[in-house]
Amino acid sequence: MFLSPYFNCNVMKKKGFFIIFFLMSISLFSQDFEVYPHLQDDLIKVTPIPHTTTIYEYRTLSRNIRMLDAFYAILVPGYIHYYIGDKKTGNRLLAWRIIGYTGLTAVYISNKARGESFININPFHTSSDENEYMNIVGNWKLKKEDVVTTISLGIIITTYLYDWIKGKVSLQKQQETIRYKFGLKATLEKERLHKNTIPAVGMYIKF
Amino acid sequence: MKKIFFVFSLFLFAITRLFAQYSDTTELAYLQIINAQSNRDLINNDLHDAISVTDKILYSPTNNFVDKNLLVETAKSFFITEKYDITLFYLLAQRILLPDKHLESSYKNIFYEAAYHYFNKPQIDSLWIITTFKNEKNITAKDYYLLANLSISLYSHSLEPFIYKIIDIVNKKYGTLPYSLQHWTFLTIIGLKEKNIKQIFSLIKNNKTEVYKQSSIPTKLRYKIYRKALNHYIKNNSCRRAKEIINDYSQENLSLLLNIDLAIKSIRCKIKSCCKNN
Repeated sequence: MFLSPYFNCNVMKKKGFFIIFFLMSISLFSQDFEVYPHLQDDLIKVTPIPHTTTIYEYRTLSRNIRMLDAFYAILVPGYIHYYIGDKKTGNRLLAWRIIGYTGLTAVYISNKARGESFININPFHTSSDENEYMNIVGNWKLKKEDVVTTISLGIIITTYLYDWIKGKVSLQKQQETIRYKFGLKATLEKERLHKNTIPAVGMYIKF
Repeated sequence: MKKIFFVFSLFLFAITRLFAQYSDTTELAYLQIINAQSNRDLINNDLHDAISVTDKILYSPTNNFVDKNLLVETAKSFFITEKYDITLFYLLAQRILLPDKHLESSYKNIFYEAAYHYFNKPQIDSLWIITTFKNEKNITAKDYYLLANLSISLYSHSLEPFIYKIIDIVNKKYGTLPYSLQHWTFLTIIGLKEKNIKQIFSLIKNNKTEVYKQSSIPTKLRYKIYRKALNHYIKNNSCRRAKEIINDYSQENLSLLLNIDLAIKSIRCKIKSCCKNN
């Protein structure tokens, strides 16, 4: 009651910082970024596998794209494709991301040399020097640095989204192919075993 | 006691069913299903299984419906995935090891289509005639030699593992291997290009003499074999073998550049052997 409004504001800020710190500490101690609870430990889950399964098939079946992988893909270009075993696409995405970062670096150096801020995209910006502008459509003109910045950011965002979404889709496709193979083979084997057989129980010793 | 026996037999029955391997019949049925769909993803995913099943057939071919058809269906799978050399290998294997006149019509088109990538029409016709149905039922070493030699005549790098398998089968079953096949194995192991093997293979004499010592082969190609062999053995730390080849190579009439190359290779070999001894 006797606290001044100034003091009140400071307490609120402190509370806010405490809540953020508390939430961060919880997320630090959690093992994975999961929307749903993770009830089974993958490390000790050993499933029986058919004898013809290759290690590539086993890896494909046991892997899944999670939110944490999506965050890794921001830091490591092409991470999802490397993770699912598609190195070729991973390398391509890495190359495109490098091009994007190179563009941004070039704009940063150019702007710093002229004493301007790093990202300064302004479609209504006017300047007396006509050489600084590029004709986009008709009379619509944009600064050359703005065009490079937009394209570079576009490349970075597109490669990230492509890596994440396409990677997830192709992993699911591979998993479906493997499941189809083993599912169908199991059905065919079952049909073969039950074909022309008389129900009976027996035992034999094989040397 | 009876109860225990019953439970035990039930357990054994369940266990044998649990670990039952997919049979060749199942593999054949699955290959027929996926070949009919022409889905490359499915086929590429199953090629490993098809190869492991057909390896058993190549080792001990039995004249039954499943074995014959498995070779043909595997060939069809490779044809859909555009691996024409391996398609031809499996069709030749079927024609030589498990001939069947009734089955021929089902793959004649595929055989010709795949062979057009390597031979012309008269050559394919002769290939078809060479491998036509024979009356003898027993499979001999000669059948395997024929299969290996015809496969070699395609001069394809991706076919090398399959020819090695045939050579292994011949070694295991018959214990003898023609010198020409031994020389081919040496040339492919050292990593000589198919183009050079094609130039050399027809000139190789079927005797014990090492390929790089045979006078029938042009000197330029012989020196190339020396260099490739030295690189291979030095890289794999087989210094004793490399030293033997260096001795033979130094006795040749080498130019200054080749002498320098030989000196570098012998230094590399000495360094490698020193490292190995330490």
